[in-house]
Amino acid sequence: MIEPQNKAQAGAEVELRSLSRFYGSFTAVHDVNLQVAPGEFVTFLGPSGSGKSTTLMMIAGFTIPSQGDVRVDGRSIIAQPVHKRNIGMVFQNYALFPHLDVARNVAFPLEMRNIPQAEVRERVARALRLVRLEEFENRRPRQLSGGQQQRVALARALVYEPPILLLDEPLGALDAKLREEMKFELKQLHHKIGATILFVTHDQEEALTLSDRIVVFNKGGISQIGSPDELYNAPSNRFVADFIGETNLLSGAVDSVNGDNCTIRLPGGARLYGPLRKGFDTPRKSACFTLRLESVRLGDAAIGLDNQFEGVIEEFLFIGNARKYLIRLAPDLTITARAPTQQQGIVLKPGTRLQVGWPASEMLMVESA
Amino acid sequence: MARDTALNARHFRRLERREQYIQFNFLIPCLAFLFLFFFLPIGIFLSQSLFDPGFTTEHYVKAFSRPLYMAILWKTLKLSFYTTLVCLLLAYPVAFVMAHAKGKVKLAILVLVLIPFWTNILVRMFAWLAILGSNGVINTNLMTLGLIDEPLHLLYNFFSVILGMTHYMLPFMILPIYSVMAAIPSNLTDAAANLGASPWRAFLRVYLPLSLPGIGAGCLLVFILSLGFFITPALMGGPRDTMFAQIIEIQINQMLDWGFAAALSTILLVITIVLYLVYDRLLSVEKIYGGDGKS
Amino acid sequence: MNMDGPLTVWKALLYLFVALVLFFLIVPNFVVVPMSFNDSALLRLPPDGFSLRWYHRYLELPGWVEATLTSFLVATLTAIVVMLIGSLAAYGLVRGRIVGAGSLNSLLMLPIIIPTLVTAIALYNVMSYMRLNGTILGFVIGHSVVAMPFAVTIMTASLRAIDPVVENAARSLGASRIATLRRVTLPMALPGLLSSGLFAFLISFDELLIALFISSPTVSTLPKKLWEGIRFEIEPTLAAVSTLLVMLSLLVLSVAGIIHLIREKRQKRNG
Repeated sequence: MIEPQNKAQAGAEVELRSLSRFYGSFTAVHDVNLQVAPGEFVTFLGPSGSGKSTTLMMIAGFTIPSQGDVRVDGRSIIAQPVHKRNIGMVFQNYALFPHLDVARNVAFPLEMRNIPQAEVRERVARALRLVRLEEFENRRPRQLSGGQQQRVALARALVYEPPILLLDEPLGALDAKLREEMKFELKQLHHKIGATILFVTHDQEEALTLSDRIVVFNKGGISQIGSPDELYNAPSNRFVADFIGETNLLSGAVDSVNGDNCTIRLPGGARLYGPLRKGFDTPRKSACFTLRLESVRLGDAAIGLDNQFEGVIEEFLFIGNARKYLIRLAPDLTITARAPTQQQGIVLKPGTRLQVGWPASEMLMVESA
Repeated sequence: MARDTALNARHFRRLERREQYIQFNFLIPCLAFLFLFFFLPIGIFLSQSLFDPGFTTEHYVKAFSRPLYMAILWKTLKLSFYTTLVCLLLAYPVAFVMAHAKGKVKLAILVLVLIPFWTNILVRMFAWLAILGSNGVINTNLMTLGLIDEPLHLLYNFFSVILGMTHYMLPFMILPIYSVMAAIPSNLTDAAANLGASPWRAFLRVYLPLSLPGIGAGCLLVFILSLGFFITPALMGGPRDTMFAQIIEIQINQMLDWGFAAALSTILLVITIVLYLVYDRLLSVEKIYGGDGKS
Repeated sequence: MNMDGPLTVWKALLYLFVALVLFFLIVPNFVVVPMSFNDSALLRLPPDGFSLRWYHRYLELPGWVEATLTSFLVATLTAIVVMLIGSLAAYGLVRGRIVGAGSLNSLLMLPIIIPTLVTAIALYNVMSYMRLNGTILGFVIGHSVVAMPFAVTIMTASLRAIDPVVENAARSLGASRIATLRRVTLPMALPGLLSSGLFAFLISFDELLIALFISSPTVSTLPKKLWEGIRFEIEPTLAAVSTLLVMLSLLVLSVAGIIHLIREKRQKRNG
């Protein structure tokens, strides 16, 4: 085990300053600014092509930026070649050396640093113990399972105690069950080693469970930065709301504003009553609201709420303890709701006509862009 | 701030360029070697066709005006064409069976194609001479059996040159066609058959057009290699079957006329390179050898 | 054309035709073997009786053994030169983000396309100037030119099979470019490197035209001796030499095949 007292000094502060990368007229990453505290676990989340991986590659040094700076503990590392940056990295397909056994794989970074043989042996053993692979040191990578290879890659990236660890979709190649296990291991590992971790994924669930903070990328730029809680409960824009968790997005033209609330007209004519949001400019033309699936009440529970409609169930999906319903409110307006299978005596099946509603306070206004 | 960014941008461009040059450095020894011992010598040699030692066009005038040389060029083109045609007819079914065979059969056919490919051409020429010669295997056995009284003239004619060339070139035809056929999804012809096409129609309408790139590449490659081929015509051809490469050799070794040899070589190279450019568009050389195609 | 279906007349004819073509391809390679062990001075088949006298003659006649040794030396040196230069070039082609890498590759293939006779004459010219005719160095240079495209092609394919991410991993772990090449790329590309060397060896050992032009009366290669022999008289000593050459080709092909199988097994288990 790496001693807890190492932890305080293990992580480094990382700062990205207006980092950009252009390929001809194509902008892969545009003006990314970010400050990461020592020991923080920060996730870059976004769809493929959103610029999250390019940003990570610029931090690692594999991609040369078009402009901007990467600073570690206040010092620019942008001019340093990859091998001098002292950053640990785990790749999506682990990238283990197939011609070396597990111990030699893990020893590789230490040998590159000319560390004496005795110490190498000791530190390799310690790193393998950390990832619980001590009996596998003489196996070749191809003789290991995906999860084991993943842990070798982690041990190899940790053995030289880099202050920063970059993880590029490290769980992407694992099956669902292993992925769950590895999430716990990663979290434990982070507590043990205390390095600053930058984690890239397109999987919102991984991001929500692992991170201290999440950076949502979209179209080459940062869409929102915040804790998992903030992003889940208070997405600032339509993209983040749509990408994180399942939600209904309802947007329309602003009809009227009174006090802290406004009324918008949805396509098809239905009117929606919802709260304005603090810190947002009062919308003049159009507005967008998010509505969580579980906020939608069905049947008698819907009667008398701020927003109440008559709907028809179109389709439902069975999801464990509940069902997901696709409900048509108007010819071109459907929403998704999540509710128990039976509700107050009504059998909910396709074609059922019922009352649908939700309180205005459970909607959240977001930027339309 | 703006100035700072501008400085950075230039710095980054320099870093990026360095990155590219590092990769290019690896190519330098090879390019330098080939330049010094391939491109430069060929350039010097070919230039002798025009500067001998002063500027002259006489060699080209001679090459194009004397009917002998154009006749030999024509005959060489004809030989290359026939060789290509025979190779195609023999190679297509072999490539087809190889592409559709499985496991050990496929491997066996591949080995049978690769062994001659990697056997010394002189060994194969010697074998043909020993088989077809007037004291060769065929003639002696036929005479022993009493089927003929006099040895047949199987060697030193246009036919024997085509035979020897075909034998040498066949792998160069089989491998490209095979590599294209192996990439044709087998369910395509099955689909055509399901749509009611007879096997022959499915083959003609679907399979044959899909294998055309392989045919094109194989034919061009064999034609190009045949054009400049020297060893087989020299060993298996008769005095009336002198080919273009042979008259170049004669200019050097017997006539000592370097200028004229250079002019003839230039003509040969121009035809070769034009065909190679066409070929390069069709399929890269690399794909044919496929790196492992040989091992 | 469903090849798994029942055997029809057409399919039987197709198989027969293919078998005949393969027979035509392979027979001249092996016909020399019984001839070389034949007791008779005539190149007869079927053979009259078993004898090793033609192999004795190969050992006793002047020049043959020397030419064989020269060929071995030249082929070994050629393989080394081509492995060094060719693998570097292949690395540049595969990993370099070079504009026009495709045309560069086509350029490197030219020694195969341009008639070797023309290359040989051109080289003879330059080699006389450099006083390299009839020297081992001259042969090695000439044969390296011819073998280079093959070696580059084999190495290119071999390097393409290596995931660049593995090299990136090495760099992120603190290995410099050179250390990455030496410790990661080279060991992984070793099978390809060995086969490129083997085939370069074989190409050099079999090469005739360049040897014809740049050899001297005193220094000659085995193919050149064989060429002179064939032009002079078709006799069983040549069959013995031919048999040795066939054996060499088979040996090289099998070693390359074994290397290939090992690599495939490795890749399969990795995948």
